[in-house]
This record gives sequence, structure tokens and C-alpha cells, in this order.
Amino acid sequence: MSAQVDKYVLAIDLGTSSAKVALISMRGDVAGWECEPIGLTLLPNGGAEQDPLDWWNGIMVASKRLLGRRLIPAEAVVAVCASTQGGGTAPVDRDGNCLMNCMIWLDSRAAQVVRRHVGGGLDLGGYNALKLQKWVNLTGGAPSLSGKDRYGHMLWIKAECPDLYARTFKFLDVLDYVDLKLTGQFVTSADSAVGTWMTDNRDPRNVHYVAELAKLGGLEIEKLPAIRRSIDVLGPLRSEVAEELGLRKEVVVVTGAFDVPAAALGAGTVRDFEPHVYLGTSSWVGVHVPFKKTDVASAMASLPCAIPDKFLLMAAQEVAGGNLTFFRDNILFSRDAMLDQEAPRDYFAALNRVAESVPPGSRGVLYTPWLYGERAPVDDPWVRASFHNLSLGTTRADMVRALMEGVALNTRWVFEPAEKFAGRRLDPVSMVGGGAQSNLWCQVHADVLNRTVRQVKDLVYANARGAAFMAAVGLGLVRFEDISNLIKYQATYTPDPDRRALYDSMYREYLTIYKVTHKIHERLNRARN
Amino acid sequence: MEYILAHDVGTTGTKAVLVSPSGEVAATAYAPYPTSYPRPLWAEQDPADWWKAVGQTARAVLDRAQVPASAVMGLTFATQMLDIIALDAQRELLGTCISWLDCRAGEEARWVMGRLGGPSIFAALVGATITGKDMLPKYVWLKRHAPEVYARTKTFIDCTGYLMLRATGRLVFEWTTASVTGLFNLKSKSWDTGLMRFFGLERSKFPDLVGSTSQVGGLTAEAARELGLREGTPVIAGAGDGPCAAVGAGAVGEGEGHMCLGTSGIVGVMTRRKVTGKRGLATIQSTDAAKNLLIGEMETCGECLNWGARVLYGREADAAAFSLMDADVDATPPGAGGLLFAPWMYGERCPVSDERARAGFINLGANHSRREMTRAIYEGVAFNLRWILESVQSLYGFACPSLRVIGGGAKGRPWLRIIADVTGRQLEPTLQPQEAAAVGAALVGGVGLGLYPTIEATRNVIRPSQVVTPDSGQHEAYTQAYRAFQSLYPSLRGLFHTLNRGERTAA
Repeated sequence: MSAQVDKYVLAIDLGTSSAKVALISMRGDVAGWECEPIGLTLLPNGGAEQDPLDWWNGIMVASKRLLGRRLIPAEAVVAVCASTQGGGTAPVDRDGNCLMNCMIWLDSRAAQVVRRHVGGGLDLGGYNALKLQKWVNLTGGAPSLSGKDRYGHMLWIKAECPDLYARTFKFLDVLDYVDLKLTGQFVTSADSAVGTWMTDNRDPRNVHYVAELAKLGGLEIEKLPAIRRSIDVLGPLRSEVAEELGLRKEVVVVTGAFDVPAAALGAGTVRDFEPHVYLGTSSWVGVHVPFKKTDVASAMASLPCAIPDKFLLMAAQEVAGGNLTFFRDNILFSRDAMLDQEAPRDYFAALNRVAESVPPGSRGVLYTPWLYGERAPVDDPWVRASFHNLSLGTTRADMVRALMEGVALNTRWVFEPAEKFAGRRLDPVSMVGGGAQSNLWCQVHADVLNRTVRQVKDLVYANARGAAFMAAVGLGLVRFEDISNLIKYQATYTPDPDRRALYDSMYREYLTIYKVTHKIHERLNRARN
Repeated sequence: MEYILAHDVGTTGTKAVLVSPSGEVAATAYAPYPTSYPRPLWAEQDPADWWKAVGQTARAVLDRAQVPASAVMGLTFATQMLDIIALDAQRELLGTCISWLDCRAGEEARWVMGRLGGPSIFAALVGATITGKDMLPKYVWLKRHAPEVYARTKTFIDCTGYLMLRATGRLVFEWTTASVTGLFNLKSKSWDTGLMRFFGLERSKFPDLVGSTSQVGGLTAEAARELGLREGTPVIAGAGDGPCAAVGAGAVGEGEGHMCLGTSGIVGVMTRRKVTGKRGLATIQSTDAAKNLLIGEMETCGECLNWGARVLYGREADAAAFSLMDADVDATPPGAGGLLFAPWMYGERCPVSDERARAGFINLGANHSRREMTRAIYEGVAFNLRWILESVQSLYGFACPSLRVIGGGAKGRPWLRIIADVTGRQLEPTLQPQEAAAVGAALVGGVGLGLYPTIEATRNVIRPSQVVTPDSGQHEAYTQAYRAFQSLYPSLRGLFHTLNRGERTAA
């Protein structure tokens, strides 16, 4: 690694549970990283909030600690660029002060108000048909009926806190807030702006707000930040920040992107029809395509992304690796009458060993990982997880493997419509995110998807590396088409033909489970709400 | 003081219980014996092991109670049912006993049902489909797969019959255990020779029938020596463990019900009426000649809780584990936060009869943890019991507003509360819930000895230890979850049949 001569990006990866900061070279090599946990407030009414100042403090603390390690000379850092969780709404005043906590992507308080605004008249799955047509035509999608997006958040604030709405200068997304703190500018990236469902996305090089779309919900585009490309150099890092971090005044800030488009770059999947699967607490499938398209049936759309002339098909799923932490914290080591030991430090490694001891198929146990409902390919807030086909002989080990297989079956559930959307077989699949550290889980994905899986090297830094590539491209040091060649793979997993019939039949039963139980879940959980 | 000595000859061992005419247990003794699994699906026991264990425990129990052999008025048995023993002309065993756990005769079960119009018509006629575990298919199996054994067989008996033979030297087949062969006529209390002919079985291979309260004979000198009892001690036939348990529960009046919360679960109702089995409910002969016993069996009941202890908590399913699980259940509000558990861990018999059904947790959310899962198990078993009770009510009109409760589960405090609230029935656990079969056999013996005029007259001997009254508000609150529970099986049936297509209920 030519660390001494290379130029570096201070790359920020701001997730829901932590702020990660990494020093990454223009070639995508990671010199080091630091992490700070971030709190999350879940409210009984479906609210999910974070204090933007916590993000910023986390980023600064982690950055100082990282730079303090002197892994590279401070002069080698030439740019700062962020990838963040998306779909958050932080109202700020003219001075950039937050008027309330940020409603993050999990916040579903707006579910009812959204239905009122988007429904009525000729109904099409909860939407007014005319409004839906307008949205799909211009944006490629429409505000989620779950209320879990920026359109819903803004509607909710306007309805519930009209004074605060009036005082709001700009509604910022998470990335926007970070860029504001870095540069003092009120801007957003094109891929983030798409999340307002108020932009015309037909030409990815010219994503712009449409006042008429805002008016469908009684909102105003004046309250939204200016749109920049992900690779635009916004300007110099604010001098106070540069000083505090001990960086040069010449360090610039590049817009960045939210996590899905960033991971697509960080996984090296920059060419059309190269898919990546991110396996973290939640998961998603992302693939660049050369066209804008909407598949209403599977709730999928290709949208503008970090690459200015491309569209990215993204299908996010609610809980993936989160199922394993749930199993640890709520079941195996639940704080109840019988807790007599703490979870081992190497829990995930132990889990992998346990799952490996069980043959494919988990001895008949099937798990569906819908702990919080599901977003794709069905937008269903009511469905919940289940273990099926438990026998007297079923062991913990069987259940653990079933968790991992269930998540992979869930990935296939969204991967198949994604292939249909793309109009071709998507193979091989690049895997990133913490869950993809598990060799077993990569193999299970290969077997279940029946696709070759490439386990990307340094896969936990994929989002940060994506941000670093955006800076590198923005500074003209790297071209998008070079990125494929800069990515290395830790291992490649090919589907085992002997498991084909087994996993295909399990997948059919998986689909059956949703079909025959989702109404039961809806009845149970609607009544409880 | 005089006593009746009753033996509960079960699957894993025998328990001897010395019971006074007023129903008090003076002493108990237990001895285990093995089951062998010589091939997949096969399960066998050696009847000689039973007799040896009966001898050991008979001596042990007298010793423990400090009672002389002369104080034993009579000897009787509650036995495992659905087992097959073949004897030759010299009354010697031909091989071992084919246990009720054995499911080798699956093919023959399908053949039997086929001869009567196929599984669905068969189920409509008989109340449930039969499986490779049932007796009639096993007789057919022997004839087909072991023709030389079948040819040498002079007499087929079962567990009770074997014990009678060893005790008295007589060859008999007791009514209650005969009533599960599929070859017994409940109305006439005789072998159904027509059915035997239809399936190619010889009437001559089946010995004479005796009622549960019959004195079969006196202990032979040899048997008296082996058991440490007096020669000539009256031996009363007794009955299968299920029919005995109904007596031990004290639920022997017309339409009176009991619930057994053991490894498996049972709802039983005694009735004079001639009822035909439906939805997995079976009608068998009761210990009372005038009454049938309507039985709904839940394949895994307490066993679901055992599984929870083993798998969710990583513990042995012992009293200590259950007290901690009970604490978790107490700390969790009714409804388990919307989490449902389907308790079919080994297939199910009633009110759905499906060996391929399996268990599951449904509606698991991030707001749940192990304690909700445990509560869901307790509630899920209760939902299935409610389903059985509602079937009994809607099909036959037996409301059973109160039920005697026996079996190990009768001691579980939060579980009884849950079952009472879910089912809306008053529950009355007996004083010795785990001894119910043996105590019941003793009372049957008492009738045989003339201590009580009838089986029904024994009902006041058994007393409840407490009364658990259902809370009508809670009953109402459970109803929504119960409706969802009821919709699970019809929704998931196809899934079970696809996933478990290759499975035969294995031992």
C-alpha cells in the first residue's frame, strides 16, 4: 500500500447506531477507522428520534481519535466526504439550529396523516390514482403509506407542530445536516432530495424540485435545501472544524450520498446490472441501471444516485443481521428469571460455529425475519417474524441456522423481483456489511439465491469507501469506471447444486408463509395498535 | 388397615401404589425398564421386564408402608395401551411386545383405510384416520411381514392380558384395552368377528373379554412368590391408563370431564350415550360397563414446556427450571404481547388429526423476548385445549363447566390460571394428580372387590386440592388471540404437508 504518497479522504459513515470515521486512500484502501455509538429514542407512538448534535459530536470525537493515531501525515488528507443513513428529517432555522430532534427513517408517526393526504377519490392501493400517477411519472415512486419517509415527516410536523413548521428554514436530511456542519451550506445531494418525493427524476443529471408535487401535500419546496451532485466539491472545510481536527485549510468537502448509493460504490458495483447486497442490521439489494422505471407491484423503482448519469434500483429490507442480535439479547441472554450468564464476546463467531453444525435446511425449521414488519417486496407494517415447523427434536442450533437461512430467503424474496425489474439475471452478487463477514452466511446466500457471491474485502467499510470514491471522483483523481478494478475480494462462493432442490422448495414455502399468514398478522397487530 | 395394590405399568417404568379404600396413598415405588428401537420406526419392549418391575415395586411398596402381605385385599393394574403381544400354543412369548410408540405399520394403515373407502371416508366413519401406530394395522403387518410368527401365534394379548396371565394363569383381553384395537364392538362388548374376517384375522387368536372390574382369578403360587404377596390374592383386571385416570380424577358421572396435563394432554368425558368419534375425538370403553369414555388427545402438552426449558433456557426440564419459567410467565401480561405458539411439536391428534403438523411461534416482534415466548407456549397449549373442549361441546353438547385436572401440569400455578381463563372452565386439580391412573385402578379394583357398588360411586372418594375459577374478563381478552390461533392450522396445513412429506411419525 502506497500510504505515504497517496492522498486520503476522511470518510464518514453515519449509521443509525454509530458514527464511523475512516481514513481511506483514493484507491479505496483503509488506513484505519474509529467508531462512536449514537443513541436512539423510540417513542410509543411510533416515533424514532436522534439529536443531530449527537451525530456531530460522534463524528468529531471519532475523527479526533482517528487522526490522533497518526496513521498517515495530516497533510495527506485532502477531502472530507460523508455517507449517512437516509430518510431523516431535521428542521433547522436560518442559523442552522435544530428546532426539534431529527425524525429518522424508522419514524412512523406520520402513517395516518400521509394516508389522508395521498388518498381519496379513485383509490389505488391507498393512493388517489391521479396523485399516484403524477408521482410515479415524475419521481418514479410515491410517499410511503407507512409514514417512514421525509414527505411523511414534513406532513406530520406541519399537522402536529404548525408553529415549528412555520419557523423552519430548511428541512434537512441526515447527510444535509452533516454537510451543513462541515461547510456552513444548506445543500442536499440529488439522491437524498429524491427522498422528499418532490423532485423530477426523469433526467438523473438534472434532478430538480417540482412545486406542484410539494403542493399535493400542502408543502413548500422553498423549505428544502439546494440540490448538488454527490461528487460536487461544495467548498473548503469550515476553518473552525479544520482547526479542531488539525487538518489543512485546503481540505475540501464533497457532497456525498446516503448509505445505499454509497455502498454500491464501496462494493465496487458501479457498472450497470452489477448487484450488491448489504447485510447489516437491516439489508438491501442495490443495482445500477441505465433507466428510470417503477414496478408498482413489488414497490420497486430506480432512482437518481451517486453516479450522476445513472439510476440505482434499491430495495431495502427492514431487519437482517438484527435478527441475530435479537436472538442474543431477547432470547438466549434475555434479562429474565433464568439469565445466569452474559453473552460471550465472540457471540457472532460462536453463532456461526453452531449454525455450521446443522445441515442445510435447519432440519425443517423455517424462520421469517419480519421482526418490525417489512418494506420490500411488500410494504407491510403489520407482518411479524415467525418460527415454523418446530419439532420435539428441534435444538437451538437448528433455530440459529434457520435465522440465517430465513434472512437469505428474505433476500431472495426481493432479489427475484429485482432481476425481473432489471430484465436480466444479476450474477455475481457482491456482498458488504457486517453480516457478510460470516463465510457461512455468504455461502447460504449463494445457495439460496443460486448466484455466485463475492465477499468484498474490508466489507464493513463499504459505505465509507463509497464516500471516499465520491471525493476521489469529485477531485478528478479517479473515474467511476476505475472503481471496479480497485475492489478486492476476500472470497467467492458458488451455489452448491446439491442444495438447489432443497432451497428452492424452502423458498416456495417461505412465500406460502407470507401468503397464508399476513392477514392473521394484520388482524392481530391492527387490533393491538 | 387394608389396601389395594395398583400398578401403573407405563412406557418408561412401572409405579406401584398402595391405596386405602378411602383413596389415600400409603406408599409408592417405581422401577424403570427400557424400550428398544431395533429399526427406524420400530419400538419394542420385553413384557418380562414389566413383570420383573411389578415384582420389585410390589415388595418395595409393602416394605415402605410397613404393611404385611395379608393387608393386600386385591391386586390390579393400569396399563399402557395399544401394544401387541403374540403367544404360541405353550403360552410362550413370540418375540417381544410391539409398543404403542412403534409406527412400522404405516403402509398397512393406508391399506386398512383404503378397504373402507380411503382416509377421508374412513375419518368420517371412525372419527380420525389411523396411522402406523395403531393396532389393527399392526396385526395385518405381522400377517404380511412375519407370516411364520403370525401362523405360530395362538393368542394375541396386550399389556393387561400379559399381566393377568402371569398373575392368574388365565388368558383374557380386558374391555377398555380391547376397545382401542379397532376390532371391539362397543355396544355388545364383544369382538367384531365381521371386521376380523374382513381384514383376514382369525377370531380364534383373540382370547375372551373381561370387564375392568372383573375378578380374573387369584394369584398363583408362583406369582405370589414373585410379588411377595399371598397366594390367592384376588386379581382384578383393571384397565388402560387413560380409562383408569378418569376414575382417579373423580370425573366418572354422566358428562363429567377431566383434563390430564402430562407429556401429552387429554380431555376425557364419561357418558352413557353412544357417541361416534369426530375431529380426532375417540370413543372407547370406560371402566364403567355402562359408559363410554370420549377422549381427545393432544400429542404434546407438558412436552411443549419441556422443550421450552431445554431449548429456550438451555436447562433440564426439572422443577427448578419450571419455577423460573413460571416466574417469567407471571411477569408477562396475558396475551404474551400478541405472540402466538402452535403446540404441535409431534403432529396432532385432536381437534385436528395430522401427524405432519408441527409447532411454531407466530407474530414474533422486536418487542418480544424469551418470557413472552414462554408465556406463549403456556397459552398455546391452553388454546389447543380450548379448541378440544369447544369441539366436545359443539359436537356432543358436553359443556364441562368444571374439569378435574390430573398429571404433572396440575401443579403448575400460573399454567392452571391461564388454562382456566383461556378455556373459561373451572379447574379442579386433584390431591394426587400424578398418581391418578394408579389410584383410579385401585378404585376399579375396589369395585371388583365389592367395596364400592359401582364405578360412579367412587366419585366422592377423589377430592380436589383447590378450585381455579376462570376470570370472565380475561377469558374475553384471550378470545381474539384464540380466534387467530384457530386460523393457524387451516392456513399452515399445506406448508406442513409439503415440508414433512417424507416424514413418518418416528419414535
